[in-house]
Amino acid sequence: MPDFVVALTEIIKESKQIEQIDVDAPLLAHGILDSFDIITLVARIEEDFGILLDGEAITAEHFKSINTIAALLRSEQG
Amino acid sequence: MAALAKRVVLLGNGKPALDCLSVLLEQEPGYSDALRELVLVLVDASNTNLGASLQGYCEAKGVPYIATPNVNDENVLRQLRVLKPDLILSVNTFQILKKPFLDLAPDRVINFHNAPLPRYAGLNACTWAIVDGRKEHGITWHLVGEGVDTGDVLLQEVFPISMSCTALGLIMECIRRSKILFAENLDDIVADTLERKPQDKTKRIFHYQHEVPCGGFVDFRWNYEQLDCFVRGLNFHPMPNPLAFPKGEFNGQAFYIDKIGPAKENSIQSPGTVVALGKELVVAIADGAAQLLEVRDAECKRIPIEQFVSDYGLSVGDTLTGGTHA
Repeated sequence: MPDFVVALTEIIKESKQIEQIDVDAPLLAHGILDSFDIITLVARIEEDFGILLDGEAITAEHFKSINTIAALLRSEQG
Repeated sequence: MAALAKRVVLLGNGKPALDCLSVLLEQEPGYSDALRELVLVLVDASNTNLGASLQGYCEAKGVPYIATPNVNDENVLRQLRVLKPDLILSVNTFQILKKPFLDLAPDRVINFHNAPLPRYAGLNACTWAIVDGRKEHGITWHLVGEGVDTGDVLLQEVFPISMSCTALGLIMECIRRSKILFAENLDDIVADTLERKPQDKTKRIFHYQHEVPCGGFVDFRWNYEQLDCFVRGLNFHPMPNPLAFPKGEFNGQAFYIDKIGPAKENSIQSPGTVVALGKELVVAIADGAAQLLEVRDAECKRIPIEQFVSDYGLSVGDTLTGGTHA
């Protein structure tokens, strides 16, 4: 299983062109990611990890931080 | 010059409001400061959708804001009256603005709507435009009156809808274009120098939130274009679907269609008849046949076509039903 935390951190740093991001930083609440970014991130997750996320999984709770997204991916991968 | 600055309030939430706020904050400060002053962001807290993060953005940028689930509340109105706004921008607001709110800036409350008004006033404009088979859609900035999406048009842009566009894709296109149109015309919006064009009421199309095209059911008696438009118009993937997945049935068991494609086979069989099976699932429709490319099971979970065929026990010659057959 890939290290989702590391991979997600790199994806978000690259796409948002930021140098550092805390794995617990509130991505949505602090406006780091908006809804377009989430859609792009979901596509990237499918491309990089082969994990298909869908409506039910795309919630503010799951996308609260890098750590919560990683937890979602781990549970989706079983 | 500062004394002439127009006092601007931004109301809304989500990506479209974030975009407008970023334009307001980013445009050349020295010049723009002389024209306007952003005095408050009024965060529509009734919008709890994913990405409704205007409050967090304001906190991060140090922008003054009030978050409220009811912008018509007297306490909110009292605070706004003190600010004496000259202009209120409403962007992705989920609430009806009542007269006391509109009286805060008489004739100067401006709303963004993701449709070419007077067509597709109300809710779910992008879905209806695609389902109706429109070849073009649009965005509108308009004055807010007491009717829903009825005020004079200030800015409008019409653009083509691509043949593969989904509801989510069209919503995103509207939002992208909205930001550009707003940025290009901000000074005229603030200065109130845009021509006001009354809407042609005879061309008004309005939909309520609860309206779902055809009750959400597909109809295999449609032709390919109708079926494709219907399926794309109800496709919000990967975001949560706020309306309905396009529904069909087989042996009393529901299934849902995310995507169709043209079929190599043609068919003169009854609409809904399974014409070919394998990696492809081909179904007869009014003008030939269509491939079902992406489907969901009865619990709306995406499943591969092979699994759908297996789980539902489909065979060539079986009949899938939709709205008018169910």
